[in-house]
Order: sequence, then C-alpha cells, then structure tokens
Amino acid sequence: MTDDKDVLRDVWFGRIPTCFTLYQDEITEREAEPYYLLLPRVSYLTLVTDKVKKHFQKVMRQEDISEIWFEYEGTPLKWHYPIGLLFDLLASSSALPWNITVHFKSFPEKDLLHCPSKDAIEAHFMSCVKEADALKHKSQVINEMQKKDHKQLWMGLQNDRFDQFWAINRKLMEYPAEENGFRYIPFRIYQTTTERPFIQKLFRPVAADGQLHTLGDLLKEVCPSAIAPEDGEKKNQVMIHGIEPMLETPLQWLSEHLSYPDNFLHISIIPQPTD
Amino acid sequence: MAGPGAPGVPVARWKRHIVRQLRQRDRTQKTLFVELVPAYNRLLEKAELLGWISEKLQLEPNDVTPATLQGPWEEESGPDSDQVPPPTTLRVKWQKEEEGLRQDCGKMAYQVVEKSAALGALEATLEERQSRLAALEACAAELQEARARQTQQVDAQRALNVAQRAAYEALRAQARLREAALRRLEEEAHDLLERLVQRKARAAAERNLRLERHEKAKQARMSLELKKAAKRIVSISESPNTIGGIREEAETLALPAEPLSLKSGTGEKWKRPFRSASATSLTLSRCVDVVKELLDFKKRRGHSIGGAPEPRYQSIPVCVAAQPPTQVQDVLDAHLSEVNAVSFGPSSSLLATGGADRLIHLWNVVGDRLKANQTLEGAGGSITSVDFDPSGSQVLAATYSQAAQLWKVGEVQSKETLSGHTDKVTAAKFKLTRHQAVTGSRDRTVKEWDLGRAYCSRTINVLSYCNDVVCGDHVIISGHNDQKIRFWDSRVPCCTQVIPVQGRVTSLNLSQDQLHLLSCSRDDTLKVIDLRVNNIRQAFRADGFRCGSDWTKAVFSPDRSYVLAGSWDGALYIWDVDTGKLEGSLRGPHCTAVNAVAWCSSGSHVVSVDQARKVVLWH
Repeated sequence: MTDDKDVLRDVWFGRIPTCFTLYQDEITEREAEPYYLLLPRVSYLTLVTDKVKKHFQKVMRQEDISEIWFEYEGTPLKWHYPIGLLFDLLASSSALPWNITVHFKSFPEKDLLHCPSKDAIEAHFMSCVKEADALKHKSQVINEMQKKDHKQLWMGLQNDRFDQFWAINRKLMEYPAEENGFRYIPFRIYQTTTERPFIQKLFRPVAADGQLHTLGDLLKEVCPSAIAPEDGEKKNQVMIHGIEPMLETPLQWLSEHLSYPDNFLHISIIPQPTD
Repeated sequence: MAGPGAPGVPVARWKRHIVRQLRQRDRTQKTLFVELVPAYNRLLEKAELLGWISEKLQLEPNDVTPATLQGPWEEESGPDSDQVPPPTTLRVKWQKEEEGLRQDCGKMAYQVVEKSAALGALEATLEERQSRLAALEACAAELQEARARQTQQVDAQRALNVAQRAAYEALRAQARLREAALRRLEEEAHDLLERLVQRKARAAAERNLRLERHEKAKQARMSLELKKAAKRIVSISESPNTIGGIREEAETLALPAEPLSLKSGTGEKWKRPFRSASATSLTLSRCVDVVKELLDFKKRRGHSIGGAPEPRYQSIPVCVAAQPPTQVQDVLDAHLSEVNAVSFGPSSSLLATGGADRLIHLWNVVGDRLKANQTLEGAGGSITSVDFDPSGSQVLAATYSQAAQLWKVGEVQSKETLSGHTDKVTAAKFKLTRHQAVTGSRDRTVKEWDLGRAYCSRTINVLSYCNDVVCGDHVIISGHNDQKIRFWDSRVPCCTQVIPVQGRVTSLNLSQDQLHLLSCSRDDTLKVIDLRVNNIRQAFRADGFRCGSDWTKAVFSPDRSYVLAGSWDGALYIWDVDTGKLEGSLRGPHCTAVNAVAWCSSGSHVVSVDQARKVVLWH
C-alpha cells in the first residue's frame, strides 16, 4: 500500500522542464529572454503560465497583447489537455527541455478553445470529473458530495496540494466491496497518427469470467493497431505519465493510480522512436 | 484502493516496473532541472534588475553632462577659479549642516528620554505582573492542597461505603434466611390448616353416619310399634261414641290445613274481607304469624325435597291489608341537610334514612314515635338510596362518591365498599338471592355484585343515565333519564324489553308479588306496569301533584292496593290501584318537596322525607 501511495505522489509531482520562447514575429520593444519553467504534468497550461505571460508582456507594447497561446513545432497546444498528456503525445522523444513557443497574435480559432479566465479551466475540469464518475459510479459519488468538496478538488489542483486533493479524490476512487472494480473505466486513448482526437468507449474492468482486465486487453479491444503482433517488431509506445506500463497491468489498478486529476486515464500511443 | 485480488510477488512485477519507470522518468525529466530552472529564473531576475539599474545610471549621467562638459572648459580657464567662492559659502553650508545635525541630536536625545520613560513604565507593569503571578501561584498551591485534602476525604468516604456495603450485604443475607424461615413456617401453617379441614370433614361424616344410624333405629322402632298396633284387636260394636270422637279428631286435623289451601289458592279473596272488617292490628298480626309459620313449614319441606341450589331469602308477602295513612304521628329534623332516601326493614319496626350529610340513621318505630337507634358512618358522599337486605341484618347505600357501601346493622363503620362505577351511584338494591346486589349509576351502567367476595360479577351497559333500579327473581329493571324503562334478564346479555314513558323516570317500585311495577316520572305521572303482559295498566295523575326532583320515589302499599308519592309542595298523594282514582292527599309538616316515601311491610306506617331535613311518620 505504501508503494501505491508513492505511485500517487510520483504521478502528482511529475514535472516537465520547459523553455518558453516568444514567437519570432511578435513585435517587441527589446529582446525577449527565454523563460524556463518546471510544468506540473497533471495541471493545465493556462493554469501555470501566469509568470510566462508576465515575463513576455514586459517586453511588448500594450496594444500588441491579446490572448496568449502556445505552440510546439507548429502544433497549437490544447490547454484543456493535461500538460503531461501534451508532452507524451507530442514531445516525449525530443530532447529536454521542451521548447514551447509563445504567441500573442493570430489565435488559431479552429484548433484551440479560448480560455478567458481560470473559471473556464475549472468548469472544464469539473465536467471531466463528473463524466468520469458517471462512468465509474453512475454519478452517485460526485452527486453525494457537497459544493465545498468540489471546490476542494479544484483548489487542490490549482494550488498543487496533493493531500488536499486526495482527501476528496479518494472517495471517487472507491468502489462497492461486493464488486471487483468500477462499472466502466474512464479512459481516453490519443494517437498522433489519426485525425480522430481520441478514442473513448465503455470498457469494464472485470471480464465476464471474473478475470481482471489488463491494459493489454483494453488495447486489443479498443485499438488493436497499437500493439505489436506476437512476433513482430514493436512499433508503438503506450505511454501514461511519461512511462510505459507493462501490458499485463490490471486496468482497474491503473485507473485508480495513474489517472489524471480529472479521473481519466489519458493514454498516448506514439510511434516507437527509431533511434 | 484495493489492489488486484492477490498482491503476491508475481503480481507486483508490473507494479515494480511502474515504480521503477516513474523514478527513471523523474530522474531524467525533473531532478536534473529542479535546481537549474529556479537558478536560471533568479539569474533572469537579476539581469533584469541590472538592466533596469544601468538604464537609470545612464539617465543620471545625462543630467551631469553639462557640468562635466563645463568642467574641462573651466579647468582650462583656471582650475582654482571655481574654488574661490566656496569657503564662505561652504562655511555657511557646514554651519547649516551642523545646526541640522544638532537639531537631530536634540531630537534623538528627546527620543531617548521618552523611550527610557516608556521602558520604566513597561518594567513597572512587568513587576506588577510578576507579583500577580506569584500571588496566583500561591493560590494554585493552596487549591492543590485543598484538592489533596478532598481526595483524602473521598478515600475515607469510599472506605466507609465499602464497610457499609459489607454490613448491608450481611443484613441482606440475614433477611434472606429469615424469609426462608418464614416461608417454611407458612408452609407448615398451610399443612396444619389442611389437616384441620380434613379432620373437620371426617368429623362431619361421622356425625352424618351417627344420625343415619339413629334414624334407622327410629324407623325400626316405629315399624315395630306399627306391627304391634296392627296386632291389637279393636271391638267396634261396643262403643259408637268413640267413632264420633275419631271423626271429630279428623275434623280438627283438617282445620289447620284449610287456611293453607285457601292461601295457596288466591290470597286476594280473603284479604279483602279482613280489611273491610277493620280487624284490630293485634288479631291481624296473629293471623299473619300463623300464615307465615305455615308457609315457612311448607318452604322448608320444599327445600329438603327439591334441594334448591341457590340459598334464597324467604320473601313472603305478609301484609294482608294496608291502611292509607291519615295523620301525622311524629316529626323529626333527622339530618343536617336534605334527606334523600328512606327504607323500612323487613320487620316493619326498623327504619333507615339517608341524607346528603353522608350519614345513615337507623330508627326504631316504638308505638307512634321514632326512636334513634344508630348512625352508620363512613359514606364517601351524599347518600342517594338505602336498602335493607331481606333478613334485615345489612344495609346497602348508594353514594355520590361513585361507590355503594355495605353496613351490618349494629356496626357503625362500613363493612364493604363496592367501587367500580365511574360516576354517581343512584341506586343500590339487594337481590332476592343471597349475597347479591345490583347498583345503577349515572355512568350509564348497571352492575351486579357478588357481596360474598365483594366483586362485580356483571356490568350491563344501559345506554342512559340510570335513575333507579329494581330487581326481581331473574329480572333487573332500570329507569332512565331518556324516558325509558329497560328490562334485563340475568341470563341474557342484552335488553329484553323497553317500555317508554313520557318523562324522565325518577323511581321504580316492584310490588311484593313481583307482578306489578310502579314507576314515577317527571311528567308528574305514576304508572303501574303489569309484568305478566309487560304493558302499562294504569296511569295516575292528580291536580297539584308534581314530581319534585329527578329522584322522587313513589311506592306501592305492601298489599298493592294503593300507590303513594310525595309532591314538590310537601303533600302526599295516595291513589287506589283498583279504581285508579285519587284516594286522598295529605298535607303535613313538609314545607319543601318530598324526596321519598316508604310504606312498612305490615302496612301500618308510612314515612316520608323531604329536602329540608324532615322525617315524618304517618299512621
């Protein structure tokens, strides 16, 4: 159990070293220094980049500033995906630190959602939590909670307080003793190779014969192209939180321990790096 | 947080893999940069600050530039030239500065003084606090001492308690022993009692045996004598006179049987002549005695043959002719307040009156006077009815205190209380069967009582406020406020008959032959009901007769020739039953409504009681 708690901590305190540089076409009064930051994997970009925004605004004229957005190697970064997911999906094979370009102009309306304030992030986060609980417990747990519990979840994430967050989130991870797991596992599988943003299906943690489903079972069922044939060469990496769990890992355990704070298991499938 | 089913070693492989991978991830992505990034940010901040400072510094020299530009130019003209004017100005400046410094010094000194004063004050408060603290500590020590004393006391008390508990336990044990002894003794007493009873039964059996033997001996003797007599030869021809003698004897033997047959036929026929002949009371009573004896004899024989299961009072109508009263014989202020009830005993010489003063007075009728005999006390409330049992040895009274009470004649205090009604008891009557009584109450019930055990043997819900109740052999008749007379058979659970009258029933009276019922109601009418056909035979009214209250009692004369009732104005009204006409009204000493009247069983006296304490004896 202590191991499990350590896993939760490691997941929560995962960090990605990032270098923010201003887009070269942005008009500045003087040269903008790059800004380095350790981004929490479980958080959202617009939630933790206040300092970045401030740093670059200093060198810009007031009238040139509009909504900030980020881009990596030409791909606009969706602020409503957790940072860890964005990194795993787009940049896990590149060298550290992660180079993100900061834009203040020409917002890519068709790729990104606007993020007018932190309330928008909170609303998105809570809707994810509720969707996950709908899958896990038919929304029973989240509906029994009080408003202040919901607030505590959000504040725990916003202020990076592990204990504050897990005091409430623990209840969302419980399931009736007479069953072997949740009703359905809330997961999303992301692939860079397809147009589809992600795959999400109903998948039970326990098979009809009572056997616990594993990560491998899930992929076989939902995304068979992700796993290599028995003899074939491994072509893809299955990555959660920057690691590759073994395919025999039980899905229920993964959902309890490797879910992001929004209670979803965000799984990235990326091509095996060639080198 | 349940892990998969069995967290054994092989299962943990994937978990170990995850932990290892996470650690590896953190090593490469986090640990390397965790110091670097903040350090860079600090450097960035410093660089920015430096930039800002240098910017400022660049601006300042711009201000100075004219001077520096001027400098060399002036230096050329003469380096000392600009030092010429300063000494005086410098002195002035220095003096000014010195003055300023002195002022500052003064200010500071003043501040020092102020601060030291403040320090002194603070020290004083500190000292004061310390002294207070010391006092409080002393107080605390004292309190602790007191506490120690208290705990000692508690300990002592506890020890005492333990000792007392031990003593208590010892006493309890002793008590238990005593109780056991008592139980043993009780058992012994029970045994002895049983043995006594057995012995008594044996003795009785022996006596019976002896008597039987005696009887047999007697019979044997008798049969012997009869045989002897049969053997004797009588010569008939010699004396004809003896035959006449025998006949005479037979006639005399027949004579005593004659009244018997007459009486057992219809008493009515020969009651009349006696009254009309106005026989003296002496001869009348003698005649009554004879009849009574004869009847008693008959009854006794009947008993020995039939073996009647119920012990019964022998009620014999002994009055052959009642005389309507004509004059007042005695007037008494008997009670302290209203007199509600009056009743003659079976012997005609004993009289009971009951009043609102909670007393029952017994009176002897001696000649033409009422002599106080006894007072029965202990009634819980106003008396509403009194009744003698047929043997004349007990008095039953109904009271307002929701109970009926029973006295023995000769004992002042009440012997038994029949409680169970929930409202005023309005009537209480003995039944003809021994040890039984009936009570009626305002609580809409009539109760039958077993006096031997003093418990209620039956409760009848009579639906309305019951004003009076009478009982025959098997019938109970109750008179109600809802203008109905109801009949209850003691063998049937529900009402057997209802006879409506036109006013609230105030009284009921049963004739001695139990064939006629007299009712009095608030429509100022008396009614005679024939119980054989259960309908109203006659109604009696009179100008001036008005029923004084809800409990005005009317009675039959003992021979059922007359009915008698008292009116609200104090007059007594007498009607003849046979003709239905008013026989007469008597005005006497009553000034208020007459509550009740009673006619003695010998028919010679009438007593009336009123609302103003008076008891009047009439003849």
